[in-house]
Amino acid sequence: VEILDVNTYLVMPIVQSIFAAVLIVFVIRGRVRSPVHRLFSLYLLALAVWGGLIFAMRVSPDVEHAYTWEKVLIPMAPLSAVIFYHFTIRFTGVRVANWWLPLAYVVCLLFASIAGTKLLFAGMQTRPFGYAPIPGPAMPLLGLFSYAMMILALFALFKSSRTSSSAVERNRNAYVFAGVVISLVGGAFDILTLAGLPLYPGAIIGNIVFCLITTVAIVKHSLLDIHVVLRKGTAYILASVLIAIPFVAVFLLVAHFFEEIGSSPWVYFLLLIALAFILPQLWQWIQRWVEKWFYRDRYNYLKALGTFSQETQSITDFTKLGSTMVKLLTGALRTLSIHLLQPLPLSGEFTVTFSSDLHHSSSHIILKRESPLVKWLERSKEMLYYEDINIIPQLQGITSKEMETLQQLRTKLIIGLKTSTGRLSGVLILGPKLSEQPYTVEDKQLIYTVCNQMSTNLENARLYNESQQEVEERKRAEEILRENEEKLRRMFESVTDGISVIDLNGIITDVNQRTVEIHGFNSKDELLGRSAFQLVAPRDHKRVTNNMRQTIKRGVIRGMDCTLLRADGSEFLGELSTSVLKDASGNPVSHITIARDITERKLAEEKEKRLQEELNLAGRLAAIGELAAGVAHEINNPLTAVLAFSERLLRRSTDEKTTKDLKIIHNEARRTAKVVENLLTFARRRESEKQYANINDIVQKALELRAFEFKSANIEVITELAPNLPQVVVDFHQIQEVFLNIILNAEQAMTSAKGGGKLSIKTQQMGGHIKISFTDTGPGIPTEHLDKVFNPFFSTKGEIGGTGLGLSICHGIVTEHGGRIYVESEPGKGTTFFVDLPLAREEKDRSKVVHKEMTYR
Amino acid sequence: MIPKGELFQTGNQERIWQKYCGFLELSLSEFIEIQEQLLMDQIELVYDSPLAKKLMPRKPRDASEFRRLVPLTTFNDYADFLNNKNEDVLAVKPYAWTHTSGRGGSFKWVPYTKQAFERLGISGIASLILACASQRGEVNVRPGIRLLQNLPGKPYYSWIGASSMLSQLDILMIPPLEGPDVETFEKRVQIGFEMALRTGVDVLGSLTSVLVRMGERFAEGSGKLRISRTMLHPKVMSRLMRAWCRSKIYKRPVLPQDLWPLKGLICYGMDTSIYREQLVYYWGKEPMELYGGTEMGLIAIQAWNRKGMTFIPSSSFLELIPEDEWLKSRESKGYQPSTVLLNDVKEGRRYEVVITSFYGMPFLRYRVGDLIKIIALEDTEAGIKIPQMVFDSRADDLIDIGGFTRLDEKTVWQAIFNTKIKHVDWCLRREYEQAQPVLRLYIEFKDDIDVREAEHLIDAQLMSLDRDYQDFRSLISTKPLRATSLPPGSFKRYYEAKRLAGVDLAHFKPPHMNAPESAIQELLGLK
Repeated sequence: VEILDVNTYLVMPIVQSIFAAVLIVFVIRGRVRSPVHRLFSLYLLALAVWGGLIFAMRVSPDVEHAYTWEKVLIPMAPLSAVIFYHFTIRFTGVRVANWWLPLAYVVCLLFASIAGTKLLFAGMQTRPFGYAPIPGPAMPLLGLFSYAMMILALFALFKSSRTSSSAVERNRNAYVFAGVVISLVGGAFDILTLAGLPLYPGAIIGNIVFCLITTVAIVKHSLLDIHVVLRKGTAYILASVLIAIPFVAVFLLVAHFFEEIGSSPWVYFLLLIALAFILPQLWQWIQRWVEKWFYRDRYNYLKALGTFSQETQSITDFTKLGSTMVKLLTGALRTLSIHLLQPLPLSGEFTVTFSSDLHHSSSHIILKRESPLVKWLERSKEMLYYEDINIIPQLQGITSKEMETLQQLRTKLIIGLKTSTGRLSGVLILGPKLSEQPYTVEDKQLIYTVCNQMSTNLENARLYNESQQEVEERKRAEEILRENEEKLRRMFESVTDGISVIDLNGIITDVNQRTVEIHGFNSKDELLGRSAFQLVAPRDHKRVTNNMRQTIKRGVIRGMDCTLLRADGSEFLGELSTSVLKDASGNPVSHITIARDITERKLAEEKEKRLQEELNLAGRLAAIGELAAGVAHEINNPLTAVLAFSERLLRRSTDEKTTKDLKIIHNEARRTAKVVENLLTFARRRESEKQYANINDIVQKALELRAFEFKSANIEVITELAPNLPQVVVDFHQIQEVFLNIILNAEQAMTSAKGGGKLSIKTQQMGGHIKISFTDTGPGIPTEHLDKVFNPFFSTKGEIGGTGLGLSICHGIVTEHGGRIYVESEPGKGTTFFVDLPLAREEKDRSKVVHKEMTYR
Repeated sequence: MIPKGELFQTGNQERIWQKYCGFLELSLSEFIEIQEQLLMDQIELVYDSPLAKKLMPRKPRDASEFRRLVPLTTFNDYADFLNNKNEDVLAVKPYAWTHTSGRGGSFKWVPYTKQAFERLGISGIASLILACASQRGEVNVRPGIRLLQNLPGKPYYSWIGASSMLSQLDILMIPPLEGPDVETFEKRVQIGFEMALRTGVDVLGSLTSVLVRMGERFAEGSGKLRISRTMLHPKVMSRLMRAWCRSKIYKRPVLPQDLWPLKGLICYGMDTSIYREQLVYYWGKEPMELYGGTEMGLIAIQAWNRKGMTFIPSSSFLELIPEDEWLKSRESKGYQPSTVLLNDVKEGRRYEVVITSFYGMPFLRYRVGDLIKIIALEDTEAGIKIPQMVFDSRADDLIDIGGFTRLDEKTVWQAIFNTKIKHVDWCLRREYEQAQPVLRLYIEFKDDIDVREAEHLIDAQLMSLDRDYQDFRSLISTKPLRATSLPPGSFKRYYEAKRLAGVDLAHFKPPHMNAPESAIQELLGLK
């Protein structure tokens, strides 16, 4: 026990020196220019020197030597106390009078100056633990002064802790405070020993404890902002030493035992193998022990991390990853709140995606993409303390709104989650810890590790999710494509025009059903692979070819009329519109041709044209009729006078010549009266008297009236009168006049051109009307006259004479009867006049009934 | 946030430097980025306030749209609202009101929001740190630092500047900001120095003219120290003793630097560069210059190497009107000159300053009326990547003569200073002699000096300092400068008359350039 005490007595000062020296390196490495760091280093230096001097004193061979060393070392006590006080003044910023510190140093100098005398120590004595000084008269003063300095330092630390709002700062101060108190308690043992009490001197132990506590403060709470991390390696070296000792001891013991009993070398070999088996177990056990006791937080965190890694390995679910991360960190760090922010895909603005705090799990925007904070996190590898936002110059542009939001989230730490490519994939915002303690180095290491792992995991999950989404989107797109294709196909098939897809060689590659129908085929297969020109009349091949060439140049050609062919070779009128189908690079690959059967449309157009012409004619006739009526009315009165007076004069005339002239006047007046009568007839001044009549009867009556002239003019009349024709409601005389007029025209045409001919008259019922046709074998009407024959005063009779009103009157009569009169003629072959007269309503109904009866039969 | 002074207490110089002087480390693109971000924040804050609506028809989406949308403004655009302290039209309720005085003597009231006040404090501490620094990263400021301010008190801008600094750090203000009201500025200066004799001073912030005058008095009155009752205080006595000893050691008269060994010297006024050598001699420190104003806060600060001033990105959104555009707008009142940003300025060119406030303050594209000169696009010596500026003149202080010669106050001041003619003060303006424009200098000499000789000397100096003046002089073949010697005591009488008339402090002195006829009449004793 005595040997052990002596050794401890000697070793302690050396431990103090080494400890203090190591700390100096850390402190100076931190901030060599900072006065606070320099002062703290100076204090540590004083401790180191003090320890060295005590060691020298303690190893002295005799009390004289020890006394000499004691005189040298004793000024270190007040000096180190003053330096420490100086440090605390600077460290805490507590204001003191300017003269106070210099005075304290002066007092130190005074103590140093009397250290060589017997005022402080009268001599040395030997005590059970070693040498101990015999106090002199001034010794209490030195003790008091040193204690006063340290107590003032404690007071400054206490005051600073009370006024500081920073938990970090308060913590640091608490550590230093505790260290100083222990140091003072240790010092008290020294003083009591001097007073003669049987105690062991404790100042050195107190100092060592102070150094230990300071180290913890530096390591755990960055005292003086020194971020020193004791490497694991150091701990493992320690562990290795701990293992080596029992290993060597056991080995030597066993070797010694076997040496005594004289065993062979294989025993050593077996011993080594046995130890080799035991050692790894022992190593692991010590490793765990080191981790657990020296790095308790880290040990816990590593356990948490292990669990986290296992949990997240298989997670590809983005949502689950985020929540796992938030949960893990909240639990491991005992944090009040953690928010994970992630960028929105389009805008890149950061919103809360996961939060441990339900109040802030909304998806409102926290940080904009262009926020200085986001940019800083992107650029920096550091995590950001909320307090540092006001320190970092690049963050001056942060908006008040963003600051407010961060405040609302009670932000303490901000960490950027970065992918391997350096992209900011998320931002982690940590609130305060439940304990209100600051985040320690271990906390930050855990956060770093989790964030590094998570940023990769989240990125992978994001990519996985994106790829999943991509696959789903592709599927959806394909589905839509299919639906669209289907829709297009339906549209393609339901179009009422024929659509054909024709390749550049003119081969049909696709058609819709309508194409099959309008060309009279049975199925699409009959058309596919055929040349498109097989569907076009040969006379139009050239035009169609040109059309297709033009299409390639112009893109689209619309509305080309041509003659198309049916499967049976028959022709029909079609309208073609052609466009070019191009590939993605814009090269034409085929034509799309839309064919429309326009036969009916053409017919309708012709009909409409004809109706329009008739309408025009009717209009013209009506106008002329008006005119004629007016003229006739004006002429009638004077004409009547001319006729009456010429007749009277004729009756009285005796002179032959005068009579002859009067006859001429009278005849011309009568002729004029006839013209006027015709004009009045044309103008329909006369009311028609309609009654039921049989058309065949009217035809027969008209033919009877001209029977003699036919014979003499060598005209053969052929009638084909439909029996049982329903009756029509007509003015018998007017219709007869129409027929006579047509017959007379035919008669004159045939007689004058050929001296006779054939007149065919046919009646038939057609739907709701009766058609009467008069076909002669005359010279025909020139095409250019065809549309004028019903115009009033139009006549081709020349000298034969004619007012040109006959057919106009016929037109008027037929139109008035609701019918239609028209002409077809082929020059040189003859002319046919058609008269369509509507059936009376009852007749129409009757006709329908009959038709039905016939159908039923 | 970090509580007041805590950074200084922990002694982390790097963090202190970063917080207050970190803007010196910014790249130009980072500077512009910060400016634009703060501008957008400002737009967000103020766009629906009645005052902003008057000038900004809709909310701009970015800085360039803002510059297109909002016309350039002057105080007249705000006067009706601000001079009545109408807080209803403002976007953010003011934390304090301060005023400055315009050229015509009318007040300009300016509201400061809490955030702007705090930002001003940060810039103020930056100036304090830089004033005490001799190299990058050096923080020679700690809580309790003693700052002597020879500047007007409440409600002037200097007061709000000092108050804002107190919100950042415990500073012993000399004289105290909340001390008893004093009658005059001179009295305030006197109280400050008397107090400083007891407390000592770490940093001195003052008008250059005051410091030069004090230094001159010390130099002239050396050895004739009048003992007053206030000097009987032991602290004062010890200070005087130390000063006397120092002067003896250096074998020279007692100078202010012997009484107050300063850590830093902050000077205000365009004459700082002119009197630089004197200031160093009297006060023992290289003076540091600032550029700022009531409406805009602190805009630029000189770095530790005391070269050009560096713009602070977080003070106001900064636009600059190039000189040619400024001239066009001066000729035609309706002309809207175009502006450039700091990343588009040219070295050696003059610009008029246009600011837009940040932090909810009211000014939008506000023409400050100052001309600055960009002396370099960066300070390679100090490693600053932001264009460097010096104050050139007030925009309306330029005297245009001959159409192409524009003399500014600083050049004339420098010319007079270079002649070493002892004088009290001066005024310069354009007058006509037989329809010819001439520069008339009204100057009060201290000694009996021949006015023609003085005129000749100043003319020679102007020719060496100003190329345009030289060209103009050779063009007309005669010197355009005419000096008129003012009777002794003219300026003193003028100041006294103004003080008695209750004129605002800023108008005690007649303007150096383009002084009005009434002021000249008063100086000549004709009124």
